[in-house]
Amino acid sequence: MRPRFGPGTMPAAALRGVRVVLAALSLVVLLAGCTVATPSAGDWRATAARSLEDSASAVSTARLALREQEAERTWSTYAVTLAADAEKQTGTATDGVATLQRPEGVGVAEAAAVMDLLGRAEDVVRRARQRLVAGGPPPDALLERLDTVAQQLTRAAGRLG
Amino acid sequence: MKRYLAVFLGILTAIGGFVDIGDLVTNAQVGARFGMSLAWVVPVGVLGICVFAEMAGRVAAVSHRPVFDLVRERLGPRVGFLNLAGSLAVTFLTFVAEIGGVALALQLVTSVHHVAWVPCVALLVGLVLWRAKFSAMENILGLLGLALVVFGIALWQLGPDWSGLAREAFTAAKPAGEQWTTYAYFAVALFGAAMTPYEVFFFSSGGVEERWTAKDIGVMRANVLIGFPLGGMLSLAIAGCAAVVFGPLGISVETLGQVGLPVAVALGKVGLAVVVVGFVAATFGAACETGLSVGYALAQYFGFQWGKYVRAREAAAFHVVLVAAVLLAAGILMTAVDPILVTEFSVVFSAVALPLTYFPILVVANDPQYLGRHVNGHVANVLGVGYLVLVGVASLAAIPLMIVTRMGQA
Repeated sequence: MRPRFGPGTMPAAALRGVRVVLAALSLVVLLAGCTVATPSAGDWRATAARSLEDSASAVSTARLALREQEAERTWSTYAVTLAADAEKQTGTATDGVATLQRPEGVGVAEAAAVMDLLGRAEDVVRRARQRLVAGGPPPDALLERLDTVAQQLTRAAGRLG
Repeated sequence: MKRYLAVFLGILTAIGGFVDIGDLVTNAQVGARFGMSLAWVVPVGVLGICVFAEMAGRVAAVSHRPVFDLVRERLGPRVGFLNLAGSLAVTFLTFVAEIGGVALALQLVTSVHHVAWVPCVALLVGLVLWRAKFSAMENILGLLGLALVVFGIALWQLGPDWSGLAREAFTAAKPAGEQWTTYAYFAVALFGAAMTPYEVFFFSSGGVEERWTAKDIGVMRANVLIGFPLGGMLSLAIAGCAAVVFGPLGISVETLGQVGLPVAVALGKVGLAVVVVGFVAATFGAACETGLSVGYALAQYFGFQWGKYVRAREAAAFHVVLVAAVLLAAGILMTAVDPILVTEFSVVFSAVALPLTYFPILVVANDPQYLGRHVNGHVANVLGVGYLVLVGVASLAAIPLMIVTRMGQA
């Protein structure tokens, strides 16, 4: 039985071509990794909008976890894990903006407002997680606060995006 | 009667074993973000996996030899090696993701961080791969995976606007505010999740392990052509639940806990318990399948003894590969890498590796020297070639889309 395709049947020129393409691709990837990121005002706002959306999602998740726990539709460990993950998500979102150099086209007040909102999201999700760990029904004020912060984050993300 | 029972059991295990961590996460992410507008990708992917799984199963049943073995013999070591490298890398990445998925599911029940669960899960997977009988492993985990049917019940219980969901699914309209590139990125990810290469290799190697003959082709086809599409329905139910509960709240899915939350909203603690059982069974079952697939791939390419029907002593190299794969996967997860991130990478790279996996199967399934009168017919070839074009496009687009959309973040 002689295979129609087999060892040595790939033309040498084609093999060389594949090697050249792979080498060129590797070089492009390497060079791309060597450049320093310098965000423009547009890039900064896009990153901020994404972080605000991620935080809004985390706040809404924490609120849903609290509500479902109150209605006894989840068990405690599940809800606590959800809230802890949401807390981590808000932290990551804040870091995403905090570690980015503010470009000249973005005002100090604008950047501070974004950071303030992200900080409020972290705080309210932390309180939700603490409430879930402590057990008992969540105070209405906490649920309202989660709702308000989620709306503020979504609106702010919409303005930037 | 025994044959009908075999068909029924095969279909049930095919449904229960169809969904893995990639399907769970990707379908929930897509549902939450795009509603049902990407639902069309699921039937496209499911038909694709049916086409190639049927070919691979037929090859195993008629030739009594696994696919990698024949690919190497038929296409030569170079093409065989490309096939091996692409499939092995993606399968191992999926193996890491599945073990991480089991650990995440256990965290939901215990609140103990998933990294702490990784050694226990890895040990258990290693023990099952070493000691458990092939059929017992496949049947028990496949049947337990049926617990994920609870997503369908939850969707019905949530009482969605069915006509609205159907409109979204059939018009495939991109939601306002989303980029076309992001839409395409998630379409490719969903396609990669549905057509994961390991499913085909595990299926055909399993056929050799269970000593299929040409007489078993009918049962095999029933398992594939009924079981896989019904498994695909589970994927749609997961996406539907996420669309109904998370869509209006603007929640994006980033964790396994979020994937199960709509079931809690609809069915309460009982539903949640069932869904967590489903998570554990689906991810544990897929971890065993991907782990074995890593061993199958290497053993079949390099030609050493393999299989669970062979004594461990006689297939020592195969078992050493399994142990090494388990240890390496556990080591990677112990670095605290996010299993969901690994899953996201695995489904995209799965799309990249698809042509390397499926082209050789199509070639072997057309060779009368191996399959005699059971070679591909016109329908299988038309579908096979059509899908090769599709997987080629998905493969070329996957990495650029991943970069442009920053893994769907844009």
